[in-house]
Amino acid sequence: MTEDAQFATGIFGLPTGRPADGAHGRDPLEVLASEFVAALRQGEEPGIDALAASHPDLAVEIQDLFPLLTAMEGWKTYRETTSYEHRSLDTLPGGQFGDFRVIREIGRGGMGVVFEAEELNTARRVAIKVLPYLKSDSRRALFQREASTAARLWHPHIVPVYSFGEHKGLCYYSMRLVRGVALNWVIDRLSSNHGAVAASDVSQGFESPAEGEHSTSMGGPSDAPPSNFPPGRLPIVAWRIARNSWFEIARIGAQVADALGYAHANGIVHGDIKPGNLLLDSAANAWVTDFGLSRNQSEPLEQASSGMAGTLRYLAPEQLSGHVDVRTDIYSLGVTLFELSTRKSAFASADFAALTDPLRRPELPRARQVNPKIPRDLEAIVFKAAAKDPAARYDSAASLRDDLLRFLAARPVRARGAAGWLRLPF
Amino acid sequence: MSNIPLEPEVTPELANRVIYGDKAALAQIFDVYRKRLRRIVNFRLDRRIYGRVDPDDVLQEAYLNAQLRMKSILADRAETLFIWLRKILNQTLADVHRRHLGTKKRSAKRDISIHGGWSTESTSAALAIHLAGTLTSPSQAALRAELAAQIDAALATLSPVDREILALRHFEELSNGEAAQVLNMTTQAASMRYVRALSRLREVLPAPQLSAVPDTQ
Repeated sequence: MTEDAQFATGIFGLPTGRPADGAHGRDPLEVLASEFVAALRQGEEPGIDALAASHPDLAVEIQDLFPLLTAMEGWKTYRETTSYEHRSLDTLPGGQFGDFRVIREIGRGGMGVVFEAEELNTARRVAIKVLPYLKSDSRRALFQREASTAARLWHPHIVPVYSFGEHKGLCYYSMRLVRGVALNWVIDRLSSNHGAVAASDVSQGFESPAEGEHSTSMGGPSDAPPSNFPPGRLPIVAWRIARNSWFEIARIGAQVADALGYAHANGIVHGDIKPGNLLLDSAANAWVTDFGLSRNQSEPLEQASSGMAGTLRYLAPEQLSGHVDVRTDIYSLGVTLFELSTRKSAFASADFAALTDPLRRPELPRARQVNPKIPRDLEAIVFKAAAKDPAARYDSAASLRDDLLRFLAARPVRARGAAGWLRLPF
Repeated sequence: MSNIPLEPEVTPELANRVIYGDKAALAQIFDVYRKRLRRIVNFRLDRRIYGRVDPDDVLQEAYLNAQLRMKSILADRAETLFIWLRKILNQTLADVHRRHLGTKKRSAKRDISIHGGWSTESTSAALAIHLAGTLTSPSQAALRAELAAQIDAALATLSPVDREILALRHFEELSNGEAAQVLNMTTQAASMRYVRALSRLREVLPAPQLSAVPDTQ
């Protein structure tokens, strides 16, 4: 056989190694790129600057293109690690999953898939959230710990966690089946021709959650007993949220802020407040979901549509540097309320870099610049909640709730009180 | 050149045994290439049938097809055993998609498109997987998704040829020479095409998010 295995051929002329790939005639940049990528695949960390320095004639191209090579390789690695997770979740519906009979998929988020299911020993309808396969034991342990903390939260505006566990290597938790829609659905609905949301829309919205939204909205079929109305309670009064329902928006905000204040008092920060994690049920009550559980998963499940893309704007700037406290949640709720009242995406014009760089993140625009009909007090509350500087925000979710309640009671709000001389008549 | 890893297990003797129709030799060679072949399945299997089709079953089917084609291995004029197996795998994948999605018969010669690789639904913003470990998960997840959306938009503007060579070199991890064989062009042409595809991708991608990705693997 030949000495050089790359040219090794059998007696029938079928080369066994990779084909001859000498540098002859190849683009020198491609040759360097191949070596760079091969080093990446070996787990090395080839330095771009050093490489550029040793090839001054190609330095500009190397600096420009080689970060892209790292990016492409990282993307590939990620796809390989997630393919199992996709399959493990896609095969679930229609079957039994531990103590549950899975009825249908009702939502898919960045952190898992939510199914409507029947708990076998109680026959009650629940929602179960199944997380992508978690490889490391430490992460599974963390999930267990956080789930048990979340299960202790009991508040009228927090979706209660009933149980949690692991089945066939997949972590899950079961929770109350809220027959509702996520707030991003509401925002879409308000900005569409409908311009309003009523109880019947909410019912329809969660019976066919596939329609245009991809959040963790939850619901049940119409024949299921309405689990959130215990026997003896009267049916819901008709309600309607329209584009200018400022009080309704403030009421939803106050409910969420109240839930946040309760959780914060129990030492739990949500960390991922956004319209997709806030549900509105058919009685127009808000529910916070995924409490304390979302921060655990650093291997998000990719989802069918761009549901996760675009949620960066709800993250507080300091969160991008890894800092999370109660004011992080306040910021996220502020951005959510901004979008609920303006029906416009916050930071619409900001580019990716501005959103991801804590220093370059702009202040949230004034809501009335987008929609002058928004009451000044509500605008001031939203602006204070979503201040770029954490110190300029409400110091607690309770004070945000209280200010929203002041607005609802037509009393002066603190958000404007501090600068009373700015106060202008309506 | 030295950067291209060889599969030393595939000796010329083993290759000749395959040509003589030795099934055990084929199995041995298939095993050597299994990881690379599985990667192709991962990237080219349509996500819509992920739940129904096990990638390992696809590989098994490809293996059986390879057994059937052993007789004509020389007539297939494959440049290497790997390229030969890859071709059979792609035909198998086309069959699988046809069975499950009812798509029209595709040209067996043409590679099926890399659904898994580039479509919005499967992009996973893996670019950001290397982002600083200090980030809390929602921020990581959001960053990944954001980056995926950006890369997707960028890739969508590339020509199919540009996309394909990027897929071959990065997703399938083919060498320049192998990519040239698959695309039926000279190594020089493949080399230039790859650099051109990279430059085009670079042009349509805004700079900042790349700098956010540290050089770690």
